[in-house]
Amino acid sequence: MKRGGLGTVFGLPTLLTVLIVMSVLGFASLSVMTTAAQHRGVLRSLDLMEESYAALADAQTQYLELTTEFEALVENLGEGVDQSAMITSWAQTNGLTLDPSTSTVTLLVTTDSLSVKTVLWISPTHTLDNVRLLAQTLTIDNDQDYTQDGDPIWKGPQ
Amino acid sequence: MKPRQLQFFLLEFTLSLVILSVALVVALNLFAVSARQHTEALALRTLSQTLVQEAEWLRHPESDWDLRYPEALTTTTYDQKGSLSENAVYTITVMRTITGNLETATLTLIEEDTVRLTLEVIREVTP
Repeated sequence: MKRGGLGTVFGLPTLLTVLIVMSVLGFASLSVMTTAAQHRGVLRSLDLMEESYAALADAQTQYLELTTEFEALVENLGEGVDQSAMITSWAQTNGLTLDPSTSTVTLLVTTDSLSVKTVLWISPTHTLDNVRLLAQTLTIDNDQDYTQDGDPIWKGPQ
Repeated sequence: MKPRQLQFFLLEFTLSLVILSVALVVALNLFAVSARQHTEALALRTLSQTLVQEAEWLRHPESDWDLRYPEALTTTTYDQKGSLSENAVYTITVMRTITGNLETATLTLIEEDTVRLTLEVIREVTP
């Protein structure tokens, strides 16, 4: 091919086309991949949210059933009567973890990846305010060991 | 340039234009898909936020369920962008039931025929 004139641009349309096609399709593909990832992320967070509400509802139902059962159990006791034996028996029957030193009972509800820990304080002697909810904690079990580093985001006061 | 070379150049140019047009059409379609997914993700995020706010309101021990949800089943519809509309693309339903001493509310976010999110709130009936 001769140098100069139209001959030098021979092949240029192909080259430009390849470049334009690659960049346009590249940007379009990246755009689709980004929004697809964003969409998947939203759906995953919705799944997690649904599971957490289901776990909390389950824990709440069990907590209310257990407290109702306990109140029925100690209903006839007079005020100030020691109910420690009844607490132990009630906790054992329902598979609850009892800490007699603090008079607290722990109820653990687990789902596929979440667990809800409910801590209740039970009065050792019979009163009008027999059961009190101390804490309800929802944790995600992602098989990650945080015991060495603590919270991976906030490591707490150093 | 010889006429044969010019013919080749024109052929190459025409083919390039055709390929470029096809590529642009494909790219435009991909961008449209991307825009649709983005809108959907934004709407889902906004509406799930609304649903969680409602669930938390219902969970609060002092909330008056009868005041905000007098009916057993309340349905609200939203458009493609997640704004209140009669043209239902998204639907949020709140169903209330009372069983024994438990008040249960089930909040559901539906996208056309697909259930995207279901939240269950349980509260003890306060005398």
